[in-house]
Amino acid sequence: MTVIIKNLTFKNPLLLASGTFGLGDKFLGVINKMGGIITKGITIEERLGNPIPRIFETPSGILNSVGLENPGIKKFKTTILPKLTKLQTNLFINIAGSSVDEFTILATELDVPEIAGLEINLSCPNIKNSQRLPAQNPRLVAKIVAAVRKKTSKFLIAKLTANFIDPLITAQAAVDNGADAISLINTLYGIAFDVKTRKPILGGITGGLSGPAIKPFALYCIWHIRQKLDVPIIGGGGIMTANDVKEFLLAGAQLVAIGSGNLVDPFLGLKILKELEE
Amino acid sequence: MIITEKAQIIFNNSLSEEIYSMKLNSPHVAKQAKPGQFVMIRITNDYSFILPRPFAIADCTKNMIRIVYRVVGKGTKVLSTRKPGEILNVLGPLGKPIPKLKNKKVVLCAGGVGIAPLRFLASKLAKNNEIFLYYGAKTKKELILVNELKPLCRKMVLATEDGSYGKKGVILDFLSPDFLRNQKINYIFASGPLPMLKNLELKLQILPEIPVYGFLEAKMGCGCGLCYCCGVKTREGKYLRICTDGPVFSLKKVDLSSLNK
Repeated sequence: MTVIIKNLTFKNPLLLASGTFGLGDKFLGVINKMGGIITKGITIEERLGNPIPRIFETPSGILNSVGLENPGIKKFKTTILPKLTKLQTNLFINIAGSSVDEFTILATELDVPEIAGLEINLSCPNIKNSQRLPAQNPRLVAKIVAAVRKKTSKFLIAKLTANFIDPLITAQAAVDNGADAISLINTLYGIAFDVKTRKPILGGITGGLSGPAIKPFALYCIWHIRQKLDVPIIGGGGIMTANDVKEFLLAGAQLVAIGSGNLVDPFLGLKILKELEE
Repeated sequence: MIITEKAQIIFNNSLSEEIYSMKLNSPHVAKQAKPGQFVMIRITNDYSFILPRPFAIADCTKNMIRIVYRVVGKGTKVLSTRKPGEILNVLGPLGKPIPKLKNKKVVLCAGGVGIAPLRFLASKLAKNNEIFLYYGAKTKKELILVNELKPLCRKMVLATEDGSYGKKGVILDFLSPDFLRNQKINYIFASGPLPMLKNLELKLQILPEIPVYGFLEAKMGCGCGLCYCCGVKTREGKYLRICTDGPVFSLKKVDLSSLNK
């Protein structure tokens, strides 16, 4: 099941998706069996995240609004990263900047040997004060990816969105400017209301929808890009079983990222791996 | 060590109209669980209820754990229909255990189904400590587990809001600071609705020397520190995670208003 992309070897096609497996310092027995782990998004400054509630269950889905809670790059490097040096798999750090400069600072800070690569977070829907996601603008995607590429020789993943844009356009922009792989589809925009209080349920008002509810759309996006573009794709969106993984691979993904499934069961990656091996 | 296991339902009995007691054969969790900890249980094995739900451990004996829960939404409604012999996925034990206490005077203060985690705590504290239980509910029917708790407590004060059993009123009306001071109470553990915890914290501001701990609840994703969805703000304004930093917190350190909603 080994997958080789560029200079990296993945022992299997399973990744633990950003946002769903903490910072990589828990459940090491699961992480080490996977092809890789992508940490929660790291920003330059510490972020407290959005008010609670941050999670709400929908039919076959999960709506979340965590808001990139993280300790900031300095604390991450001093307190978390040293714990991750013995990971026996590919470690990717998800970096979330609010400007091109911030992305390049994060990339420079993380140009360290313990890390296999970076995932450029262009598509987190839970950030206030941003009317649009960077990944909704191909020119911005090009600019950020090119700027980060100049600062690091690490494996670069561009995490794109399928919210209100054809991701084929942004995938092309990412590849043309040095991304080694693209990741799709992250979460979809969502909101839920409490009909008794007549107010939005999530503390962050809007959130990102994930889980099996979005799987067919995620598969479509990956298949759609695969028809036109020869780029390594990390597919994700509602993977809960080995059959789901196979579907994503059939649609054209080289790797898959387990996201919401980790919340349902932190050992899901191991279970899926076992099923795939059988 | 946190594990996931398939647990068979031994019983799932109603204690009152909306409150159920469920016993599960969950040997790995039972072997390790300590008071203060909880489990995440999946309601069904399909995706109709995708997120597991957190439940306090109310009792723990060899191979078995028991949860006591109120039907509050669609998920717990379906859980209440699950039958003995059926299998549920259980993840646990989760959360930080309460440290062992010895030769202490401890007040347990419960509101409604909040009695569940205190039942487990009382069973462990009873050997080496004196327990004073203050327990209130809306009606007599909702005063549950009383017979189990009676032998564990030196003193038990019961109250109902409608006066159908015990004293009439909310339980905090009967927890007097003078009593706590005179008895030289060492610790207070409280579990119940958020307004009760808030009022308790306010009431006991005049006794800063007594540590007061509350069992907190929040909408959870994973229950084990991976998703960062269940937060409570500290008084300094930073979030702690209820699943891994708690679920039991010093009420003097957290800002309970951050849990409003």
